[in-house]
Formats: sequence, structure tokens, C-alpha cells
Amino acid sequence: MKTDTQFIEANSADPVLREMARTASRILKDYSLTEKQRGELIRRLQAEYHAYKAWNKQYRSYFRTPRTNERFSRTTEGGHRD
Amino acid sequence: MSAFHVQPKAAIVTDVFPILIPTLRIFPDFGRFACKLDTPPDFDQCPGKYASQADFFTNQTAALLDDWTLEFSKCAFADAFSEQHGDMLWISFDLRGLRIAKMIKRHIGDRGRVIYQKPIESPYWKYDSTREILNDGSVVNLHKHPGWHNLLQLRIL
Repeated sequence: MKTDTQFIEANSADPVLREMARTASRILKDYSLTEKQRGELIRRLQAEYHAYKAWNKQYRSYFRTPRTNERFSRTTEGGHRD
Repeated sequence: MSAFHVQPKAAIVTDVFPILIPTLRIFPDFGRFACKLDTPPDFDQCPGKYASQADFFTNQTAALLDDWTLEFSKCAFADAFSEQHGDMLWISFDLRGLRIAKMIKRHIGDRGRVIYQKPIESPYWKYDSTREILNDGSVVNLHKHPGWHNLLQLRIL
């Protein structure tokens, strides 16, 4: 069993994905688990990963604000909006 | 010595390693249970000396903890007691609980300890199951397996 598996999500900006990668590494290094137990945990973690990505994609769309649109961010020198 | 010598009961750990400051343990459980406060032995005799459970929480953290526990009550039962896995996102749930614990620690400061314990219903509970939040916001693992007596043995104040 490889113990030096590096996950891309370990360097993610999302702390949940980082924790998932860390948990996956811990599961792969846990020699007290049987092969079946390890496989079940990894499959479950993988399902949770996909579910979280889908939930995150849906949730994020509800709070998309026009931060880069000039119409909302442009101001005059005195601080008043046009 | 009698032939039927009875081994004396081992002293409970609190007699040897007493709790010196109030310790809030955050762990979700069924029945809208979110946390437990372990207090020093003279907590009741010295009112005002130690922080009470209400001192640990602000309105915001109390509401967040309530919502977090409600989510556990709704989703964890199906996930823990049925053969098919439910919809509970355990990693995200644990991180939110840890974030709430950090907010509580930031509020209480040196007056109390805050410990976060993963729910045993989580499939990943044995990894970093018990963690303490320190004053600077960092998180340290206390022990491999949850158990309140282990918390007392490892951190003698």
C-alpha cells in the first residue's frame, strides 16, 4: 500500500477539500484497517467529495455579487457614486 | 488478608488530575445535545470565581451551535443507523464545528478551555477525534481516542 500519495486537493484554497485530502492520506496510512474497511472509507470519502463539490457549486451561485462590474464600483473623487 | 480479597476500586481520574478551569467539550449528540461543561470541584462553592457555561457563548455562537446541532439531529440518524449511507457531509460538518469552537475560544480566552470532539457517528471519527483550541487559535490533537479522562491526564494545568 502506497503511503506517499499526494492529492491535488491538499493545496486547495477550500479548507474542506484540504481536510478531505488529509483524511484520505490518514486512511491510506492506517494499517489497523482491513482492505475492505479501507476501501469502504475511501469510497465514502470520494462520494462525499463529489457531493460537496456539487453542493458548493449550487450554493455559490446564490451569492454571486457584481464585484468586478464598473457600474457598481465606480465612484467620483468625492466618494459619491455616479 | 482474606482469601476473597477484593481489589479496591481505582480512584476516578478527577481525584488525581483535577479540573482547574472550566472546560467546554463540544460534541454533537442526538437529542439536540451540543456541549458539556466540566467544572472544577469548588465551582459551586465559589460563585463568580470561574466562568459559567453562559460566559462561553455569545448570541451568535449560541445560534450557530444550535443550527449545527439541528443539522446533526436531522441528518446523522439516517447516516449512522441505516445500511445505506445518508447525505451527511461529515468533513464539512466537522470543520464547521471546529470553526464554532474557535469562535467560542476567542470569546472566552484564558478563562476556560474549549475542546472539540468528533461525533462517533462520523465514519472518520478515529482521525483527530479530540482537539483543543488554544489561545492563539491553533488546534492540537489531545489523544488518538476520545475519552474525557485522557483529556485530564494529558493537560495538567
